[in-house]
Amino acid sequence: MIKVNSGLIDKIKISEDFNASACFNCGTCSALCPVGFDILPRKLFRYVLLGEEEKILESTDQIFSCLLCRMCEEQCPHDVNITENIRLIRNYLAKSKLGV
Amino acid sequence: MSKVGAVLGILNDNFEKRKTVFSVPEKSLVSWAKDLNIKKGTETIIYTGHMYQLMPITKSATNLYENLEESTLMKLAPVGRIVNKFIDLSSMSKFAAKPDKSEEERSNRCLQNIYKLLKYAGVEAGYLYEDELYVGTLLYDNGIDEPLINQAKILNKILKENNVKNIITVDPHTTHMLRKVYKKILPEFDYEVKNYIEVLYEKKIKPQNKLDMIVAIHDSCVLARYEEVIEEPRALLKNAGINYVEPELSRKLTHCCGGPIESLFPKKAKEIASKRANDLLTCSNVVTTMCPICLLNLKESTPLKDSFLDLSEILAKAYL
Repeated sequence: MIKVNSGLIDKIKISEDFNASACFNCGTCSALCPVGFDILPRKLFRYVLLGEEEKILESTDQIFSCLLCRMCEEQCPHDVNITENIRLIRNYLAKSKLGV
Repeated sequence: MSKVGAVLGILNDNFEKRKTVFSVPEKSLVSWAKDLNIKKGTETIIYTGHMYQLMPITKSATNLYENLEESTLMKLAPVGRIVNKFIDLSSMSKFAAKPDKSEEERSNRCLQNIYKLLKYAGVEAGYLYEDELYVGTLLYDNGIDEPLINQAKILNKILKENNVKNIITVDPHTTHMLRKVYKKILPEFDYEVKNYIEVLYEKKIKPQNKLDMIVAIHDSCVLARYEEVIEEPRALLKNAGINYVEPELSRKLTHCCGGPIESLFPKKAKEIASKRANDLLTCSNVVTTMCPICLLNLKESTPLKDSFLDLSEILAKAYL
């Protein structure tokens, strides 16, 4: 059962640089990912857009294991700010869920 | 509290309380400059951002943490955060896993090389000594922005007091933070920021010795992809007679060294570094890096540690 938090996107989108909705799910981003990110950026961004907060919390370790190396962005055909999006999701988790 | 939360909490608490993430004595931060008679401040300064100086302690702390990562002791990490508010745990880890003296000397030598190369290029750079601040890369990358605004304000004040206009950085992360991030979080932070590699390239320095060697290039993600500094190190190497070779993933498609996650997931970081190190070593038995984090992670992931050289070490041999 999905428990949707419709206000989640507003909490994460604290900057205009957050553009997860530009992702059109092609999966190119993961082709050369050095981490072999289990939860693909496209999946993570869907969780955010759908307000699936629990899924994001379950993925905390993976979200913080991204290297922010921008290999994915170099490949992205739609100019999604993948690493900045991930950094802003971290910002939300650190402030609201991890007690940093 | 999760392990991630506890570790980030300790780093953040250190930053807020002690202005840095890992505690290193001020004396160690500035000791590289001891015999160089560098002026304090001035219009153009070299800015180390503490990155080279932090590497020896990072290495010992990461080794310690790697052994603890999956142990039951990690359950005590949240307690560690509480203790850290009163006792600086990062300075304790220095005693648990002492930084290698030779690593400290090497970091200092890299910084001295960079300063001497700049001088050889005709750039008289000053230095802020104890007034220099760590720029907070580790926090910013992990989404912790708020304390950085205050740090940017403090640094801006220090730079203004010293009449600084141009900043020459020595590592890619500090370059990116001062050139793009600080400007974004504090619009009045307005300085010309260049990495030393860019400066040496612009000054068209001439080599004193032609080196006959084959060197594999490892581009830093931040320098190549974030800051688009790609041709400059190649030109400096080629100019010194060095035959450089590149792995399949290089330039804008360079493969990360794994370093950015060494504080949270050291085992995973080492796996990534090991893969990259092998790719590089199949190109040549001498590899150059342009970032102290890349140097540390790549050399520590392979028994062939001596194969990895910081670019400044190679340039010093050719140009000084």
